[in-house]
Amino acid sequence: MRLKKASLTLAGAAAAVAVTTMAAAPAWACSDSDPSLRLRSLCGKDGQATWLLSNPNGWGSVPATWADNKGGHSQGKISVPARGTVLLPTHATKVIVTAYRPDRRNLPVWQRHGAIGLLKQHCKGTRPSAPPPEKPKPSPKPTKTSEAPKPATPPSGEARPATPVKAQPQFTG
Amino acid sequence: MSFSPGTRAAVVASGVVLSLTLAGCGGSDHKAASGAPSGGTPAAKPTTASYDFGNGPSTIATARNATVDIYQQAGDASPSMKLHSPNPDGAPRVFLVMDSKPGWLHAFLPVQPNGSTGWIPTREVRTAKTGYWIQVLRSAHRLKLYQGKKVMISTPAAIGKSDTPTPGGAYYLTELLQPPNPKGDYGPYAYGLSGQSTALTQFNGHDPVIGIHGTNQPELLGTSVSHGCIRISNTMITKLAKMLPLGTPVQISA
Repeated sequence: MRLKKASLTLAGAAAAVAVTTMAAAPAWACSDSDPSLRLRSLCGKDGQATWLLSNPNGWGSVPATWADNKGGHSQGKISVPARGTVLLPTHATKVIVTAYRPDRRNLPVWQRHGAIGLLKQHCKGTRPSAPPPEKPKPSPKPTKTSEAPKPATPPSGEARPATPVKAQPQFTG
Repeated sequence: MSFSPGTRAAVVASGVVLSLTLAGCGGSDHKAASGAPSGGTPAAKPTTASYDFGNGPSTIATARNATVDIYQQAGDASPSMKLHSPNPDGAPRVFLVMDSKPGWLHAFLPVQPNGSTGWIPTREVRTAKTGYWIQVLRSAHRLKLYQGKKVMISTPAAIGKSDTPTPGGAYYLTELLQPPNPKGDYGPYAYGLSGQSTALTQFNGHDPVIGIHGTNQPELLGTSVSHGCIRISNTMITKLAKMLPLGTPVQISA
């Protein structure tokens, strides 16, 4: 619950402040039109920016490196999963992401598929995420106090066989 | 939760052996050897180990919402990764649970490097159990389906050839696909696994995900011919497709 509130606060207090642009140059032939990686920032409760790097492509992960304006950088390449998002461990105001071509052993830079994030306006510190709670209204009838709270995850049952998805596999064969 | 303490100890003990196993897979171990990067990483460095899945039912976690937050450690304030559900092929996002703490599940992740793990808040998933697990014996070119300790199916399999070997380790079924042409290369069904080839960086423009599927070349079963996938007969893959839930553990052994 606490975490949910925190993430709502992050989302609410946040973003809006990031500008994402693409780096320049040619792309690899087989998927010139593939979308680039995307950077967005969120403001944390502590008033620091948090950077999220997303890969909108569905065909696979994209290797990338990042560097910020405070001297921080990735240690080696990180892998951004297909249609997934990774959190970059930096609170800097500017982040540059370089993407690498997944089809060439991740070696050459994948031009125009990196991202630059610039915090236009500094994050403000903690602010109340919700109005103060109202006084509870008196209940007309006394409520049961012995009722156990429902668990977040229901007790495990036996998993059912998978439902197949009609799609052409792209596994290594 | 799903593994006994003894099993976990065995996993730790086999960690070193595992590294050697991966290094011995042949081809390029670039990805496996590169280790976990610093940013946006799964919780743990690869622990692709030899698990004893026969010790009790495994726990499978399925995403409740469109996004699952993955944390490096239980209790972290921010997620290190978000995975979407359904996955890019349209299958529900599932995870194989290794362990649990109150409010948290420690699970294998379908991301690179192979064997990556992370922590998932229990509120984000629903869980179920399965006694099924698959063992692939590469040297014997055989796939075995177990329910607990009982062998339910034992069938010949084709595995990766020497330059594109099937990587060893602990994985799980992430998706079940039904190709448009049941008489094609993949047969009538194809399971995707949570691991990828350690020799290829891509396959047909996609991540080199390894799978278990049927074949239109049954005469090659029992040999090392694939790019890393595990091929079994169309009859057997059809049987499996009617039995196994997503998240079923798969142990690929020597």
